[in-house]
Amino acid sequence: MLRLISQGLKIFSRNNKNEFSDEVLLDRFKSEGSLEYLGILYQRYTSLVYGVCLKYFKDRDKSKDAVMDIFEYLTSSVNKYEIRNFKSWLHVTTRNHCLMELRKKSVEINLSENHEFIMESHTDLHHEDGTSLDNNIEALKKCIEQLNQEQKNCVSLFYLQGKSYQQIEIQTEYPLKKVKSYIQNGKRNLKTCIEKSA
Amino acid sequence: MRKENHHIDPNKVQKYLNNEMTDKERHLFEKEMLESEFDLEAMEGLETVSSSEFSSDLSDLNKEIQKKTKTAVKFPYLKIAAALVLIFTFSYLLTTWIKNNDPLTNPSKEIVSKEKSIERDTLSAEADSVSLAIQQNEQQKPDTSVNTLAFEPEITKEEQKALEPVVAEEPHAEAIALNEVESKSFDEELVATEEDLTEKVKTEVPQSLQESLSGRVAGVEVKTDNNITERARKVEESALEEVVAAPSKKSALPSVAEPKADDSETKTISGIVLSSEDNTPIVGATIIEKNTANGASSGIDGRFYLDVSPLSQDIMVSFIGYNTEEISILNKEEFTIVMEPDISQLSEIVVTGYSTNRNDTEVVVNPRPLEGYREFNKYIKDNLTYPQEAIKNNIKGRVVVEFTVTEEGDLQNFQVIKSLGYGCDEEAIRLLENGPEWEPGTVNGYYTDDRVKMTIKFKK
Repeated sequence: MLRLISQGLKIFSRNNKNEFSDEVLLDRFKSEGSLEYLGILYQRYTSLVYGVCLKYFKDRDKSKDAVMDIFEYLTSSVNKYEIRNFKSWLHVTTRNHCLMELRKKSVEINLSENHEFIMESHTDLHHEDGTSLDNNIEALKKCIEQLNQEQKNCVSLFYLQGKSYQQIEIQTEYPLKKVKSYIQNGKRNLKTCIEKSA
Repeated sequence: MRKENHHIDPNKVQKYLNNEMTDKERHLFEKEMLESEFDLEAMEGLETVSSSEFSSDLSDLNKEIQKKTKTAVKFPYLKIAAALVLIFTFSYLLTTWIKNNDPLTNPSKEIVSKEKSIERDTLSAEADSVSLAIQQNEQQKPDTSVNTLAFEPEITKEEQKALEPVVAEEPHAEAIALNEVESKSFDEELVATEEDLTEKVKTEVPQSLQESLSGRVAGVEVKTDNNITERARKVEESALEEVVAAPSKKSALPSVAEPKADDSETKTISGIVLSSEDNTPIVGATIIEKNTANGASSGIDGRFYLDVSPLSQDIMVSFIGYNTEEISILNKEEFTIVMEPDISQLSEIVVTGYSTNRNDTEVVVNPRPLEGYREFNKYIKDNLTYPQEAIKNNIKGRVVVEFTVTEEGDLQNFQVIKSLGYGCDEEAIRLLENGPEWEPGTVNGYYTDDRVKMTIKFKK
């Protein structure tokens, strides 16, 4: 009887945990303190954290260390804050960690690029995902007209023609970085335009 | 498309970095990444490394994380094992104890113990289902005899810690069943606490023993009290007679004694004790069933409850600094007792009552000191000699003496109603005998014998 119960419990617990949503995992970690939950949650985002660190440190080993450091930091900090969206919170945390590390070592950062992205992030964090560009084609078309040439080109090719960055790069002969930049800025402008017209 | 909690797929990243995707796939992936700022920034970084570098680094990281978090998982199993060992030990000890004390054994106990250890260590979701099973087991218990149920308290005591998160705490003690084994310890407890009058509610010893055997408990302190109630309550409600008896400690605030369920054996009286000066409640006044050791104290609100024998006639209400009141409790259950401040410092005489019952239509005059009470009191005050023994032992209090005043005015048949001892009783009688003359009582104008009760206070 005893064995049956304990076996049943083991199976029950293993299977479910990986399917828990981020919120549930976070809650369980907060209330039960078992690191296992936090581990499962973090592993869903390891690639992203690593990627962001790579962007700032440009060093694989340093980035790997940072990923682990951030995990350590998580174990104590999640209990202090109320986290509504773990993914966004993790992003901010990661970025802050990287910037602090960089300040310690006074490495130069490519600021101009950051500026654009930081601006972008503000809009992303504020807006719900509902205002997806796919939804409102008519408004979209009108607003696209109002974009500047480069942005208009890239946005049309990307969103309306479903082309990849590489393809757009080839077609327009804009550098890849610029392609991305035009698309992102254009997207932001379109969002504001569509919201205005809605 | 959901942006929140969109989990990036490392495989896709690999492919993308490796240029293994078609243009369409690329576009879709890129669009996906665009939706999240986090994804976007991450991709920036990831594109600086090769696909193989990415996958190797990622697996390193995941391994490390798993290493850190998996160790946590092992602990619960250790705890379970440790708890099991403990419970096995305790069960063994228990069975030994049981064998020594009682022929009946409790085979289901061990199973319950094991199940309880699991209860404690599993996640709360699982614990709910397991505890349900246990409760079902418990409910089957009423089929077993009363004797075996008595041992539940022992289990509970040991497992108190283990059960704490699961067992709801029951602050109010309820039905307790006792068997012959338990009652022995009760005897000792009852005898020991009998002497403490002011703080606990007591019934007479034989009475409470009787009641305890039939399923009731007097408000007596027992060491396993709390434990018994928590476990016993769940199991015994359906199986045994229900009687509510609360330990006196629990209801400390308004009044110290709580009334029992009323039956033919006792009567419950209650009331409030007030000071005559300002009608404020007197806290901690002693209310005693006359001629017994049964008493109670008035609470913060001045209220008290006392279970008395239906045959009792009087209660004595006393409080330091106030005159003691003797109150008849015949045909009455609720009392408002007003106490007068005691102005005399040394000793005092209080006429507390008369023994004979008279017809209401008769004209009765009670015996009294010939020269009046003022003179009488003065005499007592002047002539009271504190006995040596009483001084030595720091004795204070009252002696209540009853005596007959014959129709000639002689004093006879001195009876000590309330004794103080240490020579005080004798001194009280001496004072009365050698004291001033008494005017006999009359009924309808004719002198008659009558009993008089006097209280003489001994104070330093």
